[in-house]
Amino acid sequence: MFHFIQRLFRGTGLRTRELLPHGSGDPFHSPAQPGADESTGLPGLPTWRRVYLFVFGCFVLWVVLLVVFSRVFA
Amino acid sequence: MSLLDYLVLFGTMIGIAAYGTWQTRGVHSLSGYFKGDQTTRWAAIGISVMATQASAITFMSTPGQGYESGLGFVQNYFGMPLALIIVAAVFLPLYRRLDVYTAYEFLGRRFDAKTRLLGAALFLLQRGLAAGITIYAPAIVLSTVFGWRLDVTILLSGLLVIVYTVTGGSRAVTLTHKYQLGLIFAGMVTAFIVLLVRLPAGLTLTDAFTVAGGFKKLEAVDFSLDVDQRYTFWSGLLGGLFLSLSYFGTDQSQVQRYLHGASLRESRLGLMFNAVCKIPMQFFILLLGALVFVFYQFERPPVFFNEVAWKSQAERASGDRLRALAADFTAVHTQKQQLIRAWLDAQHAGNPQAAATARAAAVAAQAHSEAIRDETKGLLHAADPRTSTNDADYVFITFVLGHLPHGMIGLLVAVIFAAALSSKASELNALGATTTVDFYRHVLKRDASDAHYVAASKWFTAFWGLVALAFALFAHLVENLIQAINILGSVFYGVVLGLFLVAFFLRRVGGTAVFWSALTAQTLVFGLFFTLNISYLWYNLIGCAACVLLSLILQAASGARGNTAEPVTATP
Repeated sequence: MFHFIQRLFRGTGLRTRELLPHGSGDPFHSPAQPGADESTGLPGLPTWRRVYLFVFGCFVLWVVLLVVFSRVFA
Repeated sequence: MSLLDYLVLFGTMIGIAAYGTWQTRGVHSLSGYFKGDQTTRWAAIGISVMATQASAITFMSTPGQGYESGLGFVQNYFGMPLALIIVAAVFLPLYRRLDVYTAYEFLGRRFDAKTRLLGAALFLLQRGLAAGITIYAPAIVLSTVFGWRLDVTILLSGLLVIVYTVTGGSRAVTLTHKYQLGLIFAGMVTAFIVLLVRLPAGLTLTDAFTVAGGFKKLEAVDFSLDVDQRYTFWSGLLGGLFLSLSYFGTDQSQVQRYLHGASLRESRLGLMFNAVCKIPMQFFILLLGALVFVFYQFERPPVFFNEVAWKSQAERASGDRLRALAADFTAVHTQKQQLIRAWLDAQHAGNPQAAATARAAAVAAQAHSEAIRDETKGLLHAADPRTSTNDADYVFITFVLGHLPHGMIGLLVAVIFAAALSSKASELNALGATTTVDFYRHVLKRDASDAHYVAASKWFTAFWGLVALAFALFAHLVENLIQAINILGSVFYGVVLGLFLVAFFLRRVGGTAVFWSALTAQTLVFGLFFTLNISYLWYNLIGCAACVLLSLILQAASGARGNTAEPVTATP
């Protein structure tokens, strides 16, 4: 417990690499590679970038539909 | 409620809880208890995330919002798809790569132990207090409407959720979420169909929308920049993005749901499912409320939807004015009904001028009705200051009780309890996980066996369940409780989000800088809270901005680089 309190205020804190499995890279500095992590497995949406664009497109579509719905029955 | 309703209610509630407990008995590893051994598919994750967010308040208050204010509330969810994309693209891969149990464990890996404990403590403080409300809020409405004892309602629903959450852990929570959300959807669709069937003969769905639109209940999107407008596209997009990022990215009750995924793909797809489905789902619930409004244009509604409160005052000798107002309300309603029929007849006959005239008269009659309701609320509040003037929570349950057939009433009450239990279970599971992983295992007992930690987790989960129950039982002692909890959330949420934003996006900032910045930002928020008179929602932004800016300044002033700013070497 005493060591823990000492460590709390040492300032350097826990090191990343010692907490990771051997052989893994630094998780905080892996280059951002959308789509490199895993396949989406979705037909027509092979990369995560496309999945996010699709979701954003759905959001825009919902807003447009809501605007049209409001205007029609205003 | 009839015997059939009680059978449906208790059958579904106890059945789902018993099934969840039985299916997940015998979990012996911490990973199994808190992450379901990471075997869950995307659909189950998506459902679990949705069920966690959907509390009983969602299904009692949101139709009431649609009834009173129309569809505008849907704009509050406009920031959510964008926030979920950010969580899926940035937050989630790191959580999974570090294989954390809690979001605060990530803070420990990125910064240091004290920052981790700070994040976890802020979560426990905020969510621990809010946990009582998740049980209390539906219990107070249902016990008022049905005349049940409040303490028994709280204890029965609370103990049920404690039993299966403690027994099966996170797996039980995810499993029961599937059936609870299925029940919720079945109940809401049933209510929608019954509502359409119960509309007056000859009134088409288009007519119903015309009436709702005529009373400005279908104005879903408002692009104005007026800051006095409660719901606009811009406030929903920016405020919603901010709040959703805090909630889905840093709140353990949600993080724990998507850490269950069998792979990064499954977790991401579960989040994307919510990003696509949440807006239409909220639209549907609000539309239900708008259609209940149309229904009550042809059927006299109560002058005040909390009828128990109204009757208790109106039946007294001093209730003359209340009874007179109710009579006026009936007369205005009859007149309004005739005007609406004239409006629709003129519309069907292709006479737009007559339709516009009748519509204007109906809108004026509606304004008169609202004035009568306002006076009634004022009288009720004056007679008993404990009576809330907001009766929106009672709108939907009043419709259900008065107009749904027996059996379906039990189903709809089960929907409310299912929603309460589903969000409560996620909260308890998250509180148990944070206490065990971030405090007990990290601070008090570092080298125990997995079985020991599972046993400790069960005790901690039960402890938080009992704290929530105790809080719910004494909640009536605190005035404006729900608002108090919302304020509490806003006071802490901003700083917590600030911690995570620094962790993810400001790689040069280290643990010491962010820790003292977060403490200073939290002190600043407390100071402003006690001295300024601004909307509490602003504290989310102030806390977050202060934490981020102070971290940058402190890090620059210290001249050192953050402890993970460069490839790290092993500590000697």
